Amino acid sequence: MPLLSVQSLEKSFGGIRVSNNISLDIPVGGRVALIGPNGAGKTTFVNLVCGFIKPDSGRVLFDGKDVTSLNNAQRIRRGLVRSFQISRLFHDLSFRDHIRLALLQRDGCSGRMFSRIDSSAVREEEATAILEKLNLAHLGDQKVRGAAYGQHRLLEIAIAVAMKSKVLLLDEPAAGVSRSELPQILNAIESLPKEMGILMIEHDLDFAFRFASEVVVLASGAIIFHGSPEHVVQNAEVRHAYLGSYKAKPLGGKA
Amino acid sequence: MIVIGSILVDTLSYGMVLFIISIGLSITLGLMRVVNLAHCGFAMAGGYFASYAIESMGVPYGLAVLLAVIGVVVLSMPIERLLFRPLYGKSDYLLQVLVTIGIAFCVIGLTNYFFGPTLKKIPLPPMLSGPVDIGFRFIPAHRIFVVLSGLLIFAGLWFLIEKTRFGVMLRAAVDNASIAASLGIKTQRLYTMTFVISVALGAFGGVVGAELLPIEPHYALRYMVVILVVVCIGGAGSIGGALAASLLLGFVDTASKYLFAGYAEICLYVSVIAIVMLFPGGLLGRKIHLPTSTSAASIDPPRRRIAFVSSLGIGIAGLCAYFIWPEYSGYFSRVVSLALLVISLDLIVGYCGIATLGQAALYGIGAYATGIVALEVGHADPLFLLGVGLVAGGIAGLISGLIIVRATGLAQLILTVAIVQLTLAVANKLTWLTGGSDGLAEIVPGKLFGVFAFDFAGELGYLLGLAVLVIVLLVITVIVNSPFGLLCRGIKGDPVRVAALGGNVNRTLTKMFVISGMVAGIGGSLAAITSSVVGLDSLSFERSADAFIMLILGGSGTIFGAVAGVISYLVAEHLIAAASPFHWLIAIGAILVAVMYFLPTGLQGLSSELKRRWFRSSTASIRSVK
Repeated sequence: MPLLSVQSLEKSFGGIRVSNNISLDIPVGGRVALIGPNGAGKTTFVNLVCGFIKPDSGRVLFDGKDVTSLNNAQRIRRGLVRSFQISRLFHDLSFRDHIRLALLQRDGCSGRMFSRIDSSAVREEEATAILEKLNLAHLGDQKVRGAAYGQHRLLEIAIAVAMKSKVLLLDEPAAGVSRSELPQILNAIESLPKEMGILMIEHDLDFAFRFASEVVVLASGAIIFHGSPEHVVQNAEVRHAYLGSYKAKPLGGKA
Repeated sequence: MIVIGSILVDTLSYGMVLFIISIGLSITLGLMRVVNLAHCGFAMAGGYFASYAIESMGVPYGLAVLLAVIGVVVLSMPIERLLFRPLYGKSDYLLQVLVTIGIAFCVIGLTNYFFGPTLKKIPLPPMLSGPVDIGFRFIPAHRIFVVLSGLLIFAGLWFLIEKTRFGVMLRAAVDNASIAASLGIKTQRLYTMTFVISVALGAFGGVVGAELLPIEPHYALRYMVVILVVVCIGGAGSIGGALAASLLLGFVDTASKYLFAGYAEICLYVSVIAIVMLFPGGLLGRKIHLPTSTSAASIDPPRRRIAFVSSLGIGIAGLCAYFIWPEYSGYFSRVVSLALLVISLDLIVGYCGIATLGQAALYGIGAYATGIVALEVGHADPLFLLGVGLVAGGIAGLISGLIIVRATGLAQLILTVAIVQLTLAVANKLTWLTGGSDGLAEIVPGKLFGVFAFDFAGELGYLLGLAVLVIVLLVITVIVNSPFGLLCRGIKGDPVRVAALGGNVNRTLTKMFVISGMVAGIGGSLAAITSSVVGLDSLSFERSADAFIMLILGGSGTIFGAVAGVISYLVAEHLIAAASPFHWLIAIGAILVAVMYFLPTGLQGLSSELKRRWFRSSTASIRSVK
């Protein structure tokens, strides 16, 4: 049974169909890259899956349960987490505080008023472990403000790890990161827990192909290709979508 | 029928005055993203100038209007150059609110200093002062003049913005200032011109609207809420929206005066809260996203151990003050109760990033609840009375929190002001319960622990207050260093991110409002017990603004800064206000502006800045030794 199963999602804004019968499964440990030209409907798709916007029709199943009617927060609590394309971090908190906040939130302890932030030794160790894993340990008590952009991106991933997400939607994790910092981000993503299902939206095709075992290509709101990274570059329709004008016809699920 | 007709006629004239004054603010808010709380100050200055020109110089009405508008524009130019320009577009909105309130205070103080604190008349020429028959009743010709001016301004602005070259540049800059600048539009000049138009319209509105909004010393703050509501509901930068909102608000105000005479103010503020909650993004036009991050003005909360030591230090310092000057105990009690108010404000402003100008509502409700219970029970146990204040403040915090957290930005600011104004109006109206404008007097608590009686010098009251303050500081220190405190600071940084972590933003903020309400409630309760009177001033907008100034002086987000802020404020007040209350307003306005520009983290921030410089210079010297 797939961890996340999206079934025939439809969404139109005005007369424009931004999601055209999209179906997609992410199994346990799945590594799926979602690519597509600008305006293909990638971000709308993420917003639909996360519950920021409601689909016109279709269903989202998560962990075997229908979550289509749940809002964003309820989906997060079940383990369906996203990262942001533009880093959204708390500039006046330290790196460690970010991880603490995510851990406290995950354990349902963030409302406690009379204990200390670092009262649980287990959580503190976990925070240290996560920071070390993502090469951020040396920045622990430093404020996020003023840190390098690549470190912000790593912290975004670290937060997702701390939240013990079952499925993680990475919205352009390498957006705006310099070439020299790319390998670090890729290493971080590769070090994520094996059982986690990951859907990555990416512009940089090389980056996406190194990470993914499956590639899904979106154009004009519909899936036009779904297969292995080796095949995607040879696919005529994909090339056409990226290089020339393209009229989508829905393929209905896997191609 | 006649009543409806009258309401509509008055709505039209009152609404037009609101439109003329507020449209300038709406345009500057839409273009420069500056919440100018001093806007009514310019309208007021216009009224004063016109009044002076006619009454003392004998200038005819038309010329006086012109002179007043020119005078205000000339006066505003250096203010724009020095104070507003740094605010355009980029600074955070808490800074704008405080700087422009400071300017408003200065304007109030200066006009009163030069023109005296009385109500000013602007005599109308015979042509405008006579009655005109409109079928079912007579109305003053002046009203028709106002309506026509309003329509003319509406048409003129519409033409200016939709049809002229200036208008195209203006709309481009509103949409995206940096792209407009890259196209060669001189945005700085555009801003200055817009500011001039805005101020001129405000001054004109102040003069021609003087029959409906009388020119008096506190004009600048009294009508600020209404004007802000018009701008907020109308949608910043939308002329049609501002007109619609002005007429809507004019209708609500006029209808409640006709139909619920005596409860008009309560009706108005209830409607304001309802309308703002229904249309947080405005009727027309676009929602303005104010820059909210309190960027530069942020310092870390005190660590637990340091905070515990500091709390005890404050207790010891308070005791020393008592042993040295026991005769000042009454004054010290005031410091303690105000410190509690400012600490409660810090929890909202410094830890949640919500700018509230309504905190005195929570303080005043605590004070009134204590006073009412004390008079009812007679010689009630003082600790029980403090508990009453705590519970009342907590409930008030819950209710206002539930309302305030639902909005953001300008709508939120307006809700906070509307809540304190509504509370004041209700307290004023429920004379049987609150004593109305006389307030409650002769509140006498029973013996503390059944042993110690309260003395007239207020020595016991002060010692009790000091103990309460230290306990509150200790408890708050624990709370702000808890997971809950961390969550609040996260929300202050970015509420959307907290939601994406699965956090419940509104519930967390409401909880903080309850805690803050409890602290403010104890403060009010303590004020009632130690001074034995409760008056309307305890829940006024001015008290809220004062608390804000004390917080800014001390530095927000630090808790202990609150105590420093109260003491320095009261000392300054003691020194300056002794000369003249209006000197005090000028001084406090100037202090506020200066603090925001030169010392955005307050006194507490100054000390940590000095500390940092000291350490940096010492490490530098070590390095140079190597």
